[in-house]
Amino acid sequence: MSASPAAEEPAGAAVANESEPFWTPNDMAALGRLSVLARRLAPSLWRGRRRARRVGGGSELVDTRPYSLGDDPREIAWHVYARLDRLVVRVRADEMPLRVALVVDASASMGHGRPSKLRQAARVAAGLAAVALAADDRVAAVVAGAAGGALATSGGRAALPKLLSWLGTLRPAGQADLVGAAAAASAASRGRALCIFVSDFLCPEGSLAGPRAARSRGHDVALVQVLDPSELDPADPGDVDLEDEETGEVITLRAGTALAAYRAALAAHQAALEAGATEIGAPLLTVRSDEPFEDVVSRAMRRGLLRAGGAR
Amino acid sequence: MNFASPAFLAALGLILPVVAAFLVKQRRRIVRVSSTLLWRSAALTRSKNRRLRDLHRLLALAACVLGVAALSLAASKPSLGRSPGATVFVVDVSASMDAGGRASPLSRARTELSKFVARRPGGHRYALVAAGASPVTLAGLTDSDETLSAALGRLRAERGSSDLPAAVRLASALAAGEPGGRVVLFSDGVERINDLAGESKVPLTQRHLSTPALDNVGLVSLSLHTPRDSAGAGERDLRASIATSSSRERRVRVVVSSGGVELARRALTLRPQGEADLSMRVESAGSELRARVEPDDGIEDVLPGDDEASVVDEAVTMPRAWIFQHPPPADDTEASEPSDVFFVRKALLAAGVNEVYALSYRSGPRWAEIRPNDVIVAVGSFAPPRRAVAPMLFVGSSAGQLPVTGLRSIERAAGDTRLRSVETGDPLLEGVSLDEVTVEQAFATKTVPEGAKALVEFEGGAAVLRGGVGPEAWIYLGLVPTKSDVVLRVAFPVLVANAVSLLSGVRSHVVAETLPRSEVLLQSAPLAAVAPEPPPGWLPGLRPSALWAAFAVALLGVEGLAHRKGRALS
Repeated sequence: MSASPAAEEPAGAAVANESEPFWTPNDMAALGRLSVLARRLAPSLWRGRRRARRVGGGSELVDTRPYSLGDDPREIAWHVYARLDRLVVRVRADEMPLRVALVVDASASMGHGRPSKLRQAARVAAGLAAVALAADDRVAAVVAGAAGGALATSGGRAALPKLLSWLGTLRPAGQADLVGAAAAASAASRGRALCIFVSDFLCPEGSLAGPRAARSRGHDVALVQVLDPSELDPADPGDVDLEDEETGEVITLRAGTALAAYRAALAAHQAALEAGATEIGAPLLTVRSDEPFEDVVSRAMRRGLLRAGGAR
Repeated sequence: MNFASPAFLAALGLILPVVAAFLVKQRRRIVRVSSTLLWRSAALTRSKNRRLRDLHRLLALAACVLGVAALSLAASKPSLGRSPGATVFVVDVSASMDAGGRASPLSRARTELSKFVARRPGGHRYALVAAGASPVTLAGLTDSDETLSAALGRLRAERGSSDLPAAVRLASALAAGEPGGRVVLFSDGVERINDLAGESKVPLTQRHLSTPALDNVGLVSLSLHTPRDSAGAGERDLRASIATSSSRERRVRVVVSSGGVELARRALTLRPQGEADLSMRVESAGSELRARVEPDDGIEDVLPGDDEASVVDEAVTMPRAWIFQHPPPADDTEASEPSDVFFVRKALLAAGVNEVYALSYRSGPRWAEIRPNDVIVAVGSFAPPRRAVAPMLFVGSSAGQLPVTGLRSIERAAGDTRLRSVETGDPLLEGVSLDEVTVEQAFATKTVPEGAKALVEFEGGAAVLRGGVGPEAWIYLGLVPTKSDVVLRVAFPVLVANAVSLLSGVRSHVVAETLPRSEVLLQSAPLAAVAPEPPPGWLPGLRPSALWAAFAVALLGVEGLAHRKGRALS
């Protein structure tokens, strides 16, 4: 947080109306690159995620495909290996395209910073959606904030422009209800999905309430935490009162020790967030709001954020 | 409101820096952040929103300002209610007030008065009067705590009874004319029943200090008489009455001594809260005789001051007594003598009157023998005309030439013979105890002749009066000897002896100074017709300044608690 002379910052504007355009031609090019990358990496990306979801087998064997690292060894067709000296795995009839539900936190706190955390969240969500759509997955989007709103599951080429247009209308306001958003995501995705929560996870009521709710509904969960540089490494605020943009809470700081106390609290909060994410088997990625979103998505792909599974 | 130390009001100026600090704090910058979640650990205070934060600060400011103001007021010692004011405290210092050591009524009065002095409202003045036999002003109206405390230290019980009406009159005179003036009386009750409220010109309040139930024995009367049949010039009849306050039977011994030499010793048994009489023949001849009562049963005696009395024997020449009765007796023998005459004659002889003659309308020439210093005693319902100039004693007379008018018969059955007041200070009643005397019938009047004095009053009127001077002096005893048990008590011969002494100017007996019976019995009775409400400024708990201080501490505590909790007050 910067101790700037401006006592009050302007209220949150729609991401599309911030000082910089929401999508530039460079950003579109980056999305394209991500899509290509996604197609190329699809087998390794999705392999291991496209396993049968119905426990007990009985599904029809319809095809085989080459073995990739991470495939279930029980699906290796050993008789093919014996004959052809090639490892292949069986493809079952009930494997289906992955559904991805993007839950974007559009609460008032996400409007903080320039560029705002919401802008970064929207761009990261768009990047993740581009990757998923490139792999023929279906994507739904839900916003958690005062406005609410959801974009139903869709796929194909027309889905991404529609999503970009929808994300451009988001504006930070109100308080985030990630639990409600998890329920909305379930409805929007029309089935079990990979719920990716993009938020700053600075909720007084419990940062992981929404992800836990999604997990309890049987969804896979992944977390992307977006923080402003001033939140990750704030300057000494001095002798001021702080007002929460989202809740309106006003606190009077204890002079001299505020910064040290904040850093300790941030470290503890992050540790608790990671512990909670591990508990529900959700990969966690923390990004800065000024970080190029393409790099963020690439990191997410390398971290396996878009893989299903994990600890159940 | 008045202030005893107004200089402390300057502390109200401390409110200015408090308000200034508040205004400075109000100008603190507000910086909006995405979330205060991680800043909470460094927060001094938290409020749900700006409005509540401002309200919290305003309330804290108000609590702080009011707390400073309350402390300043407390230090300045404000006083509430009527002020300035004047209160005169009258403290009964009769002997019974000292019974019980530390728990005595006098000790309790001293303790309570000390609290009064400590809680004295600013601008209010106090005075202190000791109500003994003669009231004494120990401290005039003053606002000096030191003077009042010193006066309290001089409070001492006296060996005797208290003249409360005189003390109340004195206190009333001190308080009269003062704004808010009033009198507060501390007493364990009254020896005689009287309406004190009428003695005071200002409001009178009582503080009744009950006497604890304690064991006490003491002398209530001691007198020395010259017997008619004395064998020698030094022979005397010593008569004493001993009483006890104990609720159980007491055994005592009475030791009579003269010049340090024991003359006689007697053992007596006293019934609970009762009295016993003692009569013995002793040899004194002009010396001082001392009588002392000592417990003989191992039970305590809480009031040593009433255990001893002394008399100095004085040789006298007794007057002659002429007993008038109508109708006259059939003969001069004692057998035909009416009972009332009999009792009076015996009392006269016991009083040392050696010559007692009969007188009637038929006496004729004998009237001329009466000398001015003789005493004519009219016994019976009919009183004689004044055919001779000599003092007269009327006993049970209701008709004839009487100095008293409006006499009427009062009966015990109607409640008219209940004792109302006794002037124990009058010489006629010296050593005479009429407590618990049973009077079936008496004659009394509601009209006291001019110049005369009513000494014993029953509910039905005054029954003992005296008036006149010299040869025209008279004493009227409305008691009918045959209709009362007073003739069976020591009181009657003492009464008759006193009457003879007063009328003739000659004393054949000496009465020692002893404590009144009510003092020995430690009798405690609430006063009648006195307002029970406490005086101004008498708060059962704290002075106003202490209340303000407590209020200030509470306010500052609230402010500090709110500040420490860091929560909005609403």
